[in-house]
Amino acid sequence: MSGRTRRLATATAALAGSFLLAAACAGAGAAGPSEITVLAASSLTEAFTELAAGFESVNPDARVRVSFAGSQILAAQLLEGAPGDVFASADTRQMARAAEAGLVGRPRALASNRLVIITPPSDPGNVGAAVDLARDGVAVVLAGRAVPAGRYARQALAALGLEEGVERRVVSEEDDVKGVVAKVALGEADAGIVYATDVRGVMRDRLRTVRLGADVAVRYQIAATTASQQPEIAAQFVEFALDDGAEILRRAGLEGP
Amino acid sequence: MTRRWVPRPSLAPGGGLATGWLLWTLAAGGLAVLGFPLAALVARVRWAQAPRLLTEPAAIEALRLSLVTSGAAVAGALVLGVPLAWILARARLPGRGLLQALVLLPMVLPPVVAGVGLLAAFGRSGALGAALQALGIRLPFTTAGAALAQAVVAAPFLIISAQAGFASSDRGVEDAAATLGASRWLIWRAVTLPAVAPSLLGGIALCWARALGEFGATITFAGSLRGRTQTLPLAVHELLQTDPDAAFAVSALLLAVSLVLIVPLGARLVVSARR
Repeated sequence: MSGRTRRLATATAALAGSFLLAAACAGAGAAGPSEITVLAASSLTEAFTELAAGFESVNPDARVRVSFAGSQILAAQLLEGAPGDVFASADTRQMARAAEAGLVGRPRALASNRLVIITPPSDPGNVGAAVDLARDGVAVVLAGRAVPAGRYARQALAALGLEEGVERRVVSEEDDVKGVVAKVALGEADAGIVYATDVRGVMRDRLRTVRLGADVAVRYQIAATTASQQPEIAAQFVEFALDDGAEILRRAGLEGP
Repeated sequence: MTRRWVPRPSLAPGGGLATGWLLWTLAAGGLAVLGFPLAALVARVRWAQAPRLLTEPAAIEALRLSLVTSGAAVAGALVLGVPLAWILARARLPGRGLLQALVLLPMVLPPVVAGVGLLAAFGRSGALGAALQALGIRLPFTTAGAALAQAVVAAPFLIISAQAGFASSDRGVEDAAATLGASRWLIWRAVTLPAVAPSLLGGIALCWARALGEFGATITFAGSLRGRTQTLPLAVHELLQTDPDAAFAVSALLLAVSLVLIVPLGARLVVSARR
């Protein structure tokens, strides 16, 4: 073997070794003794980031990882056996999917929310009310039909008699409500329908809010999973969210259940 | 040379029997990591339901859209990419290394970054957004946008393949044809093109497969809407959230198409390795 080949072989072996080491470390770090994973609806991003921090501050030994996605994605992940200790869904339907499969304990009412229309601050589509969403040439982004935010939005539009008209203006269906927020905040879409809590923090200056004018009951539910490796901490987290942590959820803009 | 598929311990770098078996074991492990998920995917498909799942409107529309957009992406890559490949192979230009890197970049770039780049360039608030709007052209959220996203990510596969063909084809024959008075078009058609045809076809297959599989740039730049921008991979992504059986069936379809496109290339690699 030439010196060059030998060096190359050594380097390759070292590289492979470091990958294995990294993988081993990652594996060891994944399941800490008192760590729980909370699967939370995308629209809870701000609220549950704060809630997790609040829980950790009163339970210094516990660590909370929160995985945010559309509730239908989280439910599908649970059904596929993804590890998670607590599930917080943006609608009762996705929670029911998990509950019917025996994957979560008794769902509890967590909070409620409201829907609003958002546009870019410059309002390129000239959207002043829900009826404008059906106007020719307006590019509307909604969450997909399986996504709670998408389902609620269509319920609201149906109540306003606008469902078919707006459906023709939809240019993209997003995986979760934050996808709708992003497409509108980037200025690529003229309008979208999201939760009132999505128009907070950094998004406040990047979005203009328009009243939707239809009341749809947006109900969040929370439950500990039955397969949790940390059932006590999971139960504590659920209790915290419903009790002491409720104030944190209100501050994030969510309303009582 | 005879075909051998039995393990040959003497193939090991060190030549020792022990390292030989280590080599084979690691290689088998590598094959398992690559192959097992695909085998498991095929095993998971409910074949009895597959015909129904694959003929659902969502699947049919995604298939049609995927064929249209990937076809357009390959056509675009041919029209703009082959001349670029020729220049890269034959012309002497300053900064060719940089140009080459730029052409290769989409192969290693995260597709979502390609999508963000497309938004920055052609999005409504992008660099050319106002100009495009003045011309009445809209790319984000359109089928054309999905095809563009695929072309950007997939074209390098066609370009490097064609470039290799141009670089290795015999220029002496072209020069001889020119001496004999052949026109440039005749030389291209009768000499250059036949010589690079195998590389070009291989490049088209790779480019098409990559375009068919494009996900990240498409969903970032063109969004996802059934019948307009929801190609097969985007449909799989959505179906996995709502109808996993359908997602597995469509995945198997994509796997089969990819296999058909890549097998000739694999065969060529094996042939050239035997030489």
